[in-house]
Amino acid sequence: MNDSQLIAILASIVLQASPLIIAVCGEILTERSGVVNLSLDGSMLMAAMTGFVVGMKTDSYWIGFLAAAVVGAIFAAIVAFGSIRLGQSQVAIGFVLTLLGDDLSAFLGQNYVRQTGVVVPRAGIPLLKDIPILGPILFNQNIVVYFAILLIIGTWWWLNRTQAGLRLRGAGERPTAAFARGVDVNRVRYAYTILGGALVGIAGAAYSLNVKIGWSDGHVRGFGWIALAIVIFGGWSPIRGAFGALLFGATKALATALQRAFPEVSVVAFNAIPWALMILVLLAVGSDYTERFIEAMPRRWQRPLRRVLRVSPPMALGTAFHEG
Amino acid sequence: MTDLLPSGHPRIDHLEMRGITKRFPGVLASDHVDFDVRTGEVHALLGENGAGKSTLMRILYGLYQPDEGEIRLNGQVVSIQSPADAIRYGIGMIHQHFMLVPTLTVKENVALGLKSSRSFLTDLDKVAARIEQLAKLYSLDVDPDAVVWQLSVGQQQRVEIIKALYRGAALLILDEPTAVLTPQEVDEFFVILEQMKRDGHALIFISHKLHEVIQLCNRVTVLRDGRTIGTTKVEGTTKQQLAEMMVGRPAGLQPTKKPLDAHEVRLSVRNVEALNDRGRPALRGVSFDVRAGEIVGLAGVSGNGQRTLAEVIAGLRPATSGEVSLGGRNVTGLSPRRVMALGLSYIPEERMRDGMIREFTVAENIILREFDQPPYARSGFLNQAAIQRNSRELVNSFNVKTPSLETPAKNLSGGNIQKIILAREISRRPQVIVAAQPTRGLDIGATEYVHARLLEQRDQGTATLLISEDLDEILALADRILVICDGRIMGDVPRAEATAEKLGLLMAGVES
Repeated sequence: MNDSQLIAILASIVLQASPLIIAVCGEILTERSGVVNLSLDGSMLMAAMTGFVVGMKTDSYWIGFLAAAVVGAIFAAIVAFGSIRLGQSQVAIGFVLTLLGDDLSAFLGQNYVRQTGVVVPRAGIPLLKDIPILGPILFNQNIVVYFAILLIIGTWWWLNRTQAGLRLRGAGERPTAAFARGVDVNRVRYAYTILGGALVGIAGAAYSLNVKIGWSDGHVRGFGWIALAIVIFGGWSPIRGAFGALLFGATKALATALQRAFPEVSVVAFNAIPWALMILVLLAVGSDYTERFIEAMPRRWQRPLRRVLRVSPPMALGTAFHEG
Repeated sequence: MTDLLPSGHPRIDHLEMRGITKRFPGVLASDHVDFDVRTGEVHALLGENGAGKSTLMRILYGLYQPDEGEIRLNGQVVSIQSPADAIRYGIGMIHQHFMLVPTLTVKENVALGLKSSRSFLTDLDKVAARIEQLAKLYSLDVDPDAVVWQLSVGQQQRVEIIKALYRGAALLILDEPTAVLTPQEVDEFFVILEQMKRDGHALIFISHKLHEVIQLCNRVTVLRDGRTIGTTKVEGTTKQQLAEMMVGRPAGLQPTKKPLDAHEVRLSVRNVEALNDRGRPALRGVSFDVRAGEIVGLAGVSGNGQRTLAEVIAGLRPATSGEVSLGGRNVTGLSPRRVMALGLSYIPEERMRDGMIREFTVAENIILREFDQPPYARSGFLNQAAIQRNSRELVNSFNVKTPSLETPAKNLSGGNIQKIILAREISRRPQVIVAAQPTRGLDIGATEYVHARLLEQRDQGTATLLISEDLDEILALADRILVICDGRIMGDVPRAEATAEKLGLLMAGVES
């Protein structure tokens, strides 16, 4: 393998990871406010289908993305309304919506299977794309990848550098305390659940219009669950989450490469690698074993290691908040 | 005195609540209550649970709206619709359960919900500078960059005060502020309050600890059953008088104790180590004995291993090493059922969760311990006649106020629930009682009842381990006092040598 091949693989990993990054950032915003939107797998399927079909009909991927964002926002709004207003379990609503999105997308999209629609064109950024190595990997992509990269930084910045981000974290960690400081907790939760859902919708269309172009039954099935797992693996941080999405993309690329190297082994075995890794990471992160591992390390490594390896969810995640 | 406080905000000269009435479905929580507080005074609001203290203060802080009555601020009638309004008028509240976000830093907690000088961006550097300025003005030692969960309870309380001052509070409502502090922390806290008082703040001190009211406050208003019983100067008033105003009958006297008559060791704990719920070491080599006929108090600040210890003794939690014996018999690792059968009575800290089954009736809860033994059980079936007869007897002899034996336990008050647990646990002449926080949240009447029953058991020769965070309770009942800090027994002090100061130092982990 020569350098240009390696760079091509890395660029493709970034491309493959971009929808996941968008969905992960969206779900992080939602979960940091204290709401679990578990419907990701269903809403991404619906958004992928809608984005593709609307893009095709209007001959504009922009309108396709917009429609996808609306679909994602509607799914999220149902989760928010059901849990905040009706007091139902966030998990149960999310689950039902997952199933609904799966079936509804198959039904509504049945006439559009394997058709050609619009795609997002490549658009290299002048000057930046000519930077050696990094240029072709990051900046000779298209608008979806750039959006994903900006979103990582933007989400981190919003959470950590703005008053609104502070209110968002307060609502997700200790809503009673935030409420006592005049934060309208449930309004914050509505806002970020719907915003996060819109991003998840965009992520769905990022598959059907850019990464895995077109529509077929169950087109992006499984990626929603992956995104939810990466949120946990990433410790609810957009930067670590993006890293997780890239790692997942890399293991997929590795699986493809291994498959070529060992053609006699079943395809299924290699396809399972990323999932198996995911499970291992989920089991290890935040468990007892992580803490023991950290304590076995030299003292000066312990703090940074703990920052990287320890994961604690927003304290009020998935719980309802009642005023007064 | 100028009209400005050290924080630069205007004073509240006089705040008055007149004829405040608040009805909830089926309850008259406040019944034409009058209350007032002036600049430079600490005014205590005293009363039992359910007397209407919280309701009144929630009205003042804008969390509830009164049905009748008015609030006057410096003579002007004001309408306080929300906490935001209250804050605008200079009213701040320090809640009993701190309103802090543990994962955020001090400065982030202060900035949360406020307007920033950099519009939508945070201005944490400015906030930190102002915190340091306030900390200096009010002698509140706080590091703006510390993460809140790493702070001690006393430090967290200071953060709460800073938060209120930052927002310009001239009047502070302090809701049972000392409940979570060690005696030393209480002393430090009172120094801060004294200074705030001198600086012209108005302070409302909600409490049911009479000696604190007498030590700190200028005036006291006593509430009972939603009504004002009276407002009086603290100077020249005794604890007994206040207690009588609170409960409406002679009360608040120290329980009389017979001389100690201790016998053989009934409960022996040797080098016990155990983990808490999060898998961290909670007990680090705990050893002590409790003899027949004595009450041993276990004092300590909440969360220093008390709960773990009680659970280990009751067989609810495994010990990772060490030994617990009951009446000379090793019971380490036995099931709770076996331990109880060997003569242990356990009055758990979380009485609603661990002490009973909420949905079960009063009678069912009373027989919970021995439901499968005669007379309650006969050849595998429940003997309803015996259950009714015995529970009726126990309900009467323990003064449980319940509509019927068939009432679900969850409908009863905390005091009556505790009486049911007592009836169940001590009616069968236990060898050893482990009582964890037996009077937490109970009113004076129920507290006195529980104390009397525990002393009665002591005089009958039971060995009692009394785990309590209420030092007054320990000093009133215990013959010997163990102090636990961070899972270690810091000291074993005979009652005669025990003072709040001495125990406080041990509670804070200072070796004696």
